Formats: sequence, structure tokens, C-alpha cells
Amino acid sequence: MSVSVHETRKSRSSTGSMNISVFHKASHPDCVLAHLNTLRKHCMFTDVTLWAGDRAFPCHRAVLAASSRYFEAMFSHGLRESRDDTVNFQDNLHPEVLELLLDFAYSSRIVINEENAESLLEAGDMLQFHDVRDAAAEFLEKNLSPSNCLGMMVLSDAHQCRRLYEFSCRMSLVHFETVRQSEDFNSLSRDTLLDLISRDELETEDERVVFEAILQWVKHDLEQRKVHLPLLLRNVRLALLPSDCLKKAVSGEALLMADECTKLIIDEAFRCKTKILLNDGVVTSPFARPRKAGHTLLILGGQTFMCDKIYQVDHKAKEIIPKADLPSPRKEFSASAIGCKVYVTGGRGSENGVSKDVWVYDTVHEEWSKAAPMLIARFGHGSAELENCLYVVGGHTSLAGIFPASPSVSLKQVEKYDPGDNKWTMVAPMRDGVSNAAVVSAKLKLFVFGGTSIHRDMVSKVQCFDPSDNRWTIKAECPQPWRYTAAAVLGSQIFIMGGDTEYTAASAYRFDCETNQWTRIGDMTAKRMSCHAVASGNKLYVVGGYFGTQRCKTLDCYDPTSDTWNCITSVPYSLIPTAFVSTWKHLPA
Amino acid sequence: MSVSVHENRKSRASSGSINIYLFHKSSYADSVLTHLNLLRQQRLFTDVLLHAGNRTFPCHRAVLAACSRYFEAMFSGGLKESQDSEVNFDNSIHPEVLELLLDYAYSSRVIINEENAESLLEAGDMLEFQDIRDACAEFLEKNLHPTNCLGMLLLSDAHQCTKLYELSWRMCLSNFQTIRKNEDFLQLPQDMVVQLLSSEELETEDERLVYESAMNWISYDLKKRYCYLPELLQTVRLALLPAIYLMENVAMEELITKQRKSKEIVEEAIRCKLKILQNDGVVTSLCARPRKTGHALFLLGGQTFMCDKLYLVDQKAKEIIPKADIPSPRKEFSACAIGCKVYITGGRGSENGVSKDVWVYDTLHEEWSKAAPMLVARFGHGSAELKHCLYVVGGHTAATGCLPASPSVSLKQVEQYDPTTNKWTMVAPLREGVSNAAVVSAKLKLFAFGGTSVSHDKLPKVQCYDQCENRWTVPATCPQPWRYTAAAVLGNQIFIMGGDTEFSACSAYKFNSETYQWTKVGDVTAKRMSCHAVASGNKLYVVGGYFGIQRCKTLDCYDPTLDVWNSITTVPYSLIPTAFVSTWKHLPS
Repeated sequence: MSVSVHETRKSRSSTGSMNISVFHKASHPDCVLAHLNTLRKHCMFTDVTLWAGDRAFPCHRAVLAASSRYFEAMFSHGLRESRDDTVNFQDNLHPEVLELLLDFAYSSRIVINEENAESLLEAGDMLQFHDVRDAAAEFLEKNLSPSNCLGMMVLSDAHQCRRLYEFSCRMSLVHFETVRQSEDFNSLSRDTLLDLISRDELETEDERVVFEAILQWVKHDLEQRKVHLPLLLRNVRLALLPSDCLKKAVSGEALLMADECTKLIIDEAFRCKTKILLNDGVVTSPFARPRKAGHTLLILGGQTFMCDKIYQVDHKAKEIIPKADLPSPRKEFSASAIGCKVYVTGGRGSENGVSKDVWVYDTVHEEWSKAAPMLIARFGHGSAELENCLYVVGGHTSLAGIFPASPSVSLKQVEKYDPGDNKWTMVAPMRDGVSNAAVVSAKLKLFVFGGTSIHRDMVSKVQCFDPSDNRWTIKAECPQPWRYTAAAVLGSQIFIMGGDTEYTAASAYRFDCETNQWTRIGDMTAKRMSCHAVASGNKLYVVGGYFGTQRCKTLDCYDPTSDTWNCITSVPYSLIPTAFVSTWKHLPA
Repeated sequence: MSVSVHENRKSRASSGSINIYLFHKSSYADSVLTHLNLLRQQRLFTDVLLHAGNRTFPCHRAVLAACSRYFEAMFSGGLKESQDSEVNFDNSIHPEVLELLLDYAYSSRVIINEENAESLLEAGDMLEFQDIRDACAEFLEKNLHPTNCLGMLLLSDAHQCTKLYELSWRMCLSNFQTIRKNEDFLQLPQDMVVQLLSSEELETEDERLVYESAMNWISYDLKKRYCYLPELLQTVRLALLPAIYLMENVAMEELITKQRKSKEIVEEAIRCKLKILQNDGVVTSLCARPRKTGHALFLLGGQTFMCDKLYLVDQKAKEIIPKADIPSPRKEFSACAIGCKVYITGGRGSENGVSKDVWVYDTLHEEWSKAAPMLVARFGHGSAELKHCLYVVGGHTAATGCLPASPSVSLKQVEQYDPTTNKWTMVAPLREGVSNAAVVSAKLKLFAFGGTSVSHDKLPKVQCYDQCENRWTVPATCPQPWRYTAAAVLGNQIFIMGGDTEFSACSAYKFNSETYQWTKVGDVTAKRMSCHAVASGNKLYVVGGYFGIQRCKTLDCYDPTLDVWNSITTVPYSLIPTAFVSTWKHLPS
């Protein structure tokens, strides 16, 4: 076929109609790659040799450059290697690992196993085979265990594998008491250790475990690491240590007294501890903030809907144990925790009178006291702690209240209690008055979900209060009109479940308070109206409620990571839960 | 990561269970090829220059070798080009075409259009991009038409494109009157011209066109081609030329008279022609054998089921024209053609007596004569021509027959008639006696399909007679029990349609007479029991039949290449077809 023949064909065809076909052979790239691999194995047209250890791998520059930016950069731009026909990785790369990477480059396939996954992740990152690095990370995610999670955390941090880092970090937190005993723990960087011990999610009920762990880490390389001791100590919840442990630290541990900064930290922690022991006001220092696993779960309830007793949930023994009687039994009250104290507000007493009273139970000293009364007598209201203050939201009142309001109509009024000065203050009212709503605080804001409106309808709004603006806004609509629901917070996620709704009373949802997005999650194991929920550790707990004539008899637990509900224990037959709170836990002084 | 670290990981991991993950990124090869194309466009790592015309294309040897065996051999052998960094195609490939091939090599996509398809096919074959060659062939197949089919025939023959070659060949045969005027025809190689002109399927009704085409081809390059004249003359059916044309134009042609062998061929044809004109016996010479489009289609029928007239189907005018009366009207007879004569055997006359008579109609001289009577009087039998003899198969007889048989029971007897001796001879009987069967000959064998058995059932067998062995066998079973069906032969394929069957009376099947395999084909346009079929050219024709009280009014045509049926014309209202034959056609002498 000559050039002139083609020109003739062009001119001839142009007189006809335009007829075009796009031919695409989907398997062509795979065929080319397979042929290139065959050429490589026969050392044909190879123009560069990679060395690792004592092994040589002849390759094609063009193929390596097309597979990896590392090689593209190496062979271009006037670098020395761009002209050399050999590249020597020496002992920085194991020949078996390089072989696997090259097999992938020429075949798009690689076998990942327990022996090679970590090395492949490192080499894949180094040579910018990011697909291999990510595939190895995925393999390691699936094979994560308490015995290797700390090592994976270090590895993934070094190689920008964000998801593997998150998974291994979470596992390290959950199994802290195991990982602190591993060899890898002593090899952690300071920043990684800080990241671990600073988190509320670190699962230990005994803060001594954390305290001893950081001392161990510092002593492992005393000269290099003692300079980090002050910063590390600031992240230990020192005020949660038993008193004798703190005293021993002052007198016995020379390391702690040798540095002025460290001494100051210990002194501050000790003063904080003393304040707690003397019950001298509210202690809000970070030193006294318990980790999530250190929360105490308390149920308020009674043999009828009239609440007359506080019970404690014993996680270990899976039992519900009576702790104290309420001085003034009541129903339709609200309860919230601030620190290690439980505030019981309003409600209706034995003669159905609406109450302004606020009773306070101190879980450390196991004693009741009375706080200043609310400005408005309420029942069926909600309450939540926000920035160490108590907010009371909505509900009903009676004509006897100080402020004018219609009898039994849902209140708009919101009032705030500051334990520091034992005073109540009115704050901005809600857009819509509600009662029987779910009220929680998350990310420095209050959220109110649903409730009963002034028209006695179910409300489908999410109302939000920002204390810095002293203003309420409507952030979103609920998935359905709601009242008598329960809500609890994990991070930026608010979980809402059960309640009186047009849909099933077993349904549960998750609301992201930063994006205002709803997500449906797994249903509860039972239908629950008027149930109560708290968050502790990385889990949710729900108790109480009824459906029809059936009482719900179990305390259930929800694990967000597996999206599953499980039964923890049964509620005693004689107990009808009417409130559920989580307080800071302290070890016996 | 050092070698020792990897070794530690291996020894540690080995103590655990074997856990393997095969990672495959299916889009990886595409990605590598895309990167290689970018490198090519940036002239990075290119190590060879391809020249075509005045353009230069930098490429990677490894990639070209991976795409094409031509390049792999060129670059890897001891050839000069394996060392050179440049390859020059000069004017043997157009640069536009080479560019398209290289774009395909590096992207797996190419645009094929009318301007480039032929050149791409040639270059694809030359450079062993077989996928491109095949894709172009497919494109050209879809754009095949009478004006280009001869060119495509040459192109596909040169480049081993089997399917394109077959389609082009068929189109050349069907459009002979168009291609003979094409300049390309005169440039065909000798063996192809011989093959074309000698073909049975060459579609022309005027043999003079074939003669003139052959002479034109010789004259185009007389010096080199004169020696092929005898061979070309043998491809022309010279005895089918008009007598005057044969005597004056052909016999007097100077090129022929000067060459002894050619002269002898023409003299043989003249003797054959005279024999035909004088009606002196059967003419079986090859020079008198009409091409398939030279067949004449004859219907036998009448106003009732009693047949009294012969009709000619004029395919050009799409009319059915009366030609002659039958001397002795009859029904339930059988009709068959040998050469240009129609043989009518047996049947029942106006008084329902079963007949042994054999009437012969000469389509050339348009006259009737009587042949020797059959040995057995029959009706409802089948007949077919095999090696210039007439075979009569099965049917019913009466007690007055020469040989013993039960009244109205299907016959096993088969007899043969030799026109040259005007004698009937008994041959081997059927395995099972049948009447109302479809009987045809194909590939030197007789086939009888279905029919009514001696126990009055529909028979589901295919019975086959081998003349060499004088024996019947049962090589296959029909798709369903059948009788009153029609059958016709194209090559080694026997088409069977309609009839009395448990399934639809419009179903049609194809039977391969060499492999004995059945294939369903498109349904006939109407349900037809007792219909009749012939083959002519590359098509089937079916006529007659009824279903319930409905007569089928059309003459339909089936095209096997398209698997579709079309109506040719309407049968006159006064005509009930009872037989259908195809004879050799002769032009008016």
C-alpha cells in the first residue's frame, strides 16, 4: 500500500456519506502489560537495572516511569540516575519486596500476606506505588489485633495511611492496658503517646495505669525523654489518682520532684484533689475530668412512676444496685449530671403540685443537698449540662408560676443555673415551646429534638441554642414528628431513639450536629416510649420505657462501630426507670 | 525499612495462621498505558524513531514490541533494525495511517472511517496489529455494496480476512452485471476470474454477458492472457447462448479460430446446441448446464385439486402465466424436473383410478410426450432427480397394482426411471413405507422426510438412500412427526417447511445433509399444509397449501443469508397449486 493509494482512497471516500466507527479493545492495555512483562522476564529492551541486596532486576524505564512518580522523577530532570543504567537500593529495600512491587507494576496483581504486608506498605510509600501501599494498609486493617495495633499505629502514621491509623489508634485506646505492656509502647514517639493519653476514649477505670505508663516510657530513655515529663503529666487525670498515690508521688518519686515544672503540676493536682475531698465548690480542672470509661451510670426510678431512689449500674457484675433514697419523691422531673453531681429539677410531687425544687446528689460523698429553686415550676421539661452550667428547657407549668403562662401549655422559657454562684437566670426562649422533648448538649450548643407543641401536636423540629449568641435557631427537621424520645451524645454525633412517633418505637437515628445530617442506624431490640439514654466510653446505653402495656425490662448497649445493640442486664422487677445519668467516677479516696 | 526488619517480620508472621490477599487493580493496566502515552507525547524514554513519508514518530521499543509481533521480531532479531534507533517505512505506509496505529497501540482506541479503513486494514496486517485489521474488516463488511465489493474481494484475499472475503464474494456473484463493468474486474488474477465466471451462483440470465466479460478480460492484456482463453471459455455456458450468437459471434471470433483448443471447445458447444435444438436425447454437457438464476419455475395446478394446467412464474414481472394444458388431468400426483423437462408421475384421474402413467413436458419445445409407465401405480408418492434419473418413492397404490400390496397402505417400493433407456427399475425399498412425505435429492443421495406410515401415523424419521450401495438408512429423526410438508435443497442444506405437524404449520427447518444436524429457521409467513417448494439461485420459493378452510394465496421467497421470508406475488384466484418444479432455462433459439 503506497501513500498515493491512500490519498486516492481519501478523495474517493469523501464523496460518500460520513461513516465512522470507534474501535475500542478493552483488553488491549492488559495485553500490552502482559507482553511487557514477558519482555522483562526475557530481559528484552530493558534499559535500567534495579538492585536490592544482592539481586538485580532488569526493567524498562518507560514502564517504571509510567507506574510510579518516584521513578518518573528519578529518570527525568537531569538527576544522576536519569543517565545511569543501574539504581541500587542496597539494604534499604529487601529484594523480595522489590520483586513483588515490580510484579505488580507489570501485571497489576500482587499477593499480600502477613509476612510482607508491612514491608509492602513501607516500600509502596517510598517508591510511590500508592495502590500497593493502600492495599497493604487495607490488609493490615483486616488483621488488626490488640497485640499489633500499637505497631500499626506507628507504621501508618509514618506513611500517611489515615484510615489504618484511626483503626489502630482506636484499638490501642480500647486495649490500653494491654498495649502499654508491649515492647512497642516504649518505642512510641512523644507525639503519638500524647495523642493516646490525652483522649477521653482511653479505656481504663484506674488512672494509675496511665500514670505508671508514662513514667515507664520516660524511664526507658531517661536522658532524652525527661524533658517531656511536664507535658505528659498535664494529660494524666492526676486528680483522679487515689490520695495515697498522690502523696507517694510527692514523697517517693524523685523524678517528679527534680524538676520545678513537674513539681508545680503535682502541687496543682494535689490542691484539686483536696478541693474534691473537702467538697469545696465545683471542680472543673482537666486534672479531674474522668475518661469515658470512668463514668458512673446512675438510674433514678421507683416501684411506680413516682421516683424515690437512685441506683448504680455495676458494669463488671452487670447488676443494678440501690444507692440512695430521694428526699422528695416525684414524677415527670428531669435529671442531669455536672461533674460528679446529679441535679434533679422540678417535676410533680405526691400531691401533683408542680415543683421548683432542685435537689443535688453528690456521688463522691453520697449525700443530698438542695440548690436554689428554678424561676419557673416545671414538669415534663428537659435539662442538660453545658459549659459546667445546667440548662432547663420547656415543659409544662401551672398558674402558680411566677411568670404568666397558660395552664398546661408547653413552655418556651429556658433558664440557666450556675453552680458557681447558685443562681438561676432566664436566657433566650425557644422558637417553639415544647414539652416531653429530648434535650442534649453537643459541641458547646444545646439541641432540642421534637416534643409536644403548644397545640399538643408532635413537633418535628431540631431547635439549637448557642450560648455565645444567646439565640435559638432551627437547624433541621427530624426524620419524623417525635416526643418522649431519648437522646445521647458521642463526639459530634447525637443519637436519638424510641419515643412516640408515627413509625416504630424501636427506631434509632444519628444526627451530625456539625453538618445537620440524619442517618438511620440499627433498630433497638425493643420498642420504647419514654425511655432514657446516656453515652459512656464509646457506647450508648438505654433503659426504661414501655410500649402498650409492656414495660421494657432490659438495659441495652449500642456499639456505633458495629451498629449493633446488645443486652447488658435486666432491670429489677420492682424498678421503673424515670431518669438515666452519667457522672464522673472517682476511686475511693 | 531495612532488610533485617523485613526478615524479622517474616519470622514473626510465620508463627501465625497463613493469611493471603490477592490484590488486583483492574484499571491499573489502563493507567500505565495512559502514562506511557504521555511519556511518548513528551518524548521521554523513547528509544526508536519511526519514519513514514515526511513525518517522524518517537516511540518506546518495548511498547511497540508488546503490541506487535512485527516490531518484536524487528527489534529483537539479528536484523539491522534491531540495532538502529530509526525505522523508515518511506512511502509504504502513509503517515496518517501510522499515526492511527500508534495512537491505538498507546490508547487501545482508534477511529475507523471510510477514508482510512482500507489503508488501516493493510497497514494493520503488515505490522501485525491483527485487532486493527479485524476491526477494519468488520467496518468494511458493514459498508459493503455493489460498487465496492470487487475491490473488497481483492483486499480481503490479500490480507486473510475470511469473513469479508466471503461476503464480498457473495455480493460479486449477486451483482455480476455491475461488477463486470468495473475497472477492477479487468485486473483480477486469472484464477479468480475463472472461479467467478464458472460459479453456479453467478447471477445472470443472459449468458452472453459472461462470454463478453471473459473476452474483455483476455483482451485487456492479450499478450499475457491469451493462453488462458480455453480455460475461460469453459466457464461460459456456451450451449445456452442464442444459436445465431453462438454461430456468428463466437465461432467467428478471431481469437478463438486461431487457437486450436479454443476452437474445439466452441465446436463441442455447437454440437451440444444442435442436439438441444433437435431434441435428440438428454443433453447433460457442462456447457449446457444453466446457472441457478437460469432456472424456470413452473407451477402445476387447476381450479380444483384436479391439476389440469402448467403455469410459468415470471420473476421479473412477478406474474404467473399459463403455459400449457395437461393432457390427462389428475390429482395426488408427483412432479419432478430433469434438465429442461418436467416428469409427471402417477396420481388419480377423474374416475379416482390410480395411474401408472408418466407424462413429460419439454419446456424448450413446449410439447407433451408420454414416457414408459411406472411399475407400480401410485398416488401420494414423492419423486426426485438423482444423477439424471428419476426416482419415485412410497405413496399409496390399489389392489390392481402389479406387485402385491395392501390396499391404501403406504408403500415401501422405490423405482428408478432412466430417460436414456426409457425404462423403470425397482431399487431397494424404504425402511418404512410412507406416503405424503417430502422427498428430495442432495449430494448424490435421496432423502425422505416424515410422511404417513403403514399404521397411518405421522412418521418422525429421515430416511436416506445411497445409490452406490442401493440401500436405505435412517440417519436422523425429524424435529417433530411430519407429513404433507415441502422440501427444497440449497447446496448441502435441505429446507423443510409447513405441513401437518403437532407444531405450527408455518415452521421451517434446515437439515445439513452431511452432518445430519437440524436448525430452526424463520417461520413461513403463513400456515401451509400440502405446500410445495423449490430452490432457485440462492433462494427458496414456496407456494400453495392450506390451513383449515383458508387457502394460501401468495408465492413466498426465503433468503437464507437474511433468514427472512418475503412475498413475491399473489397466486391467481382460480389456481390451486398442486406441484412446483424448477427446470433449466434456455433463451429463445
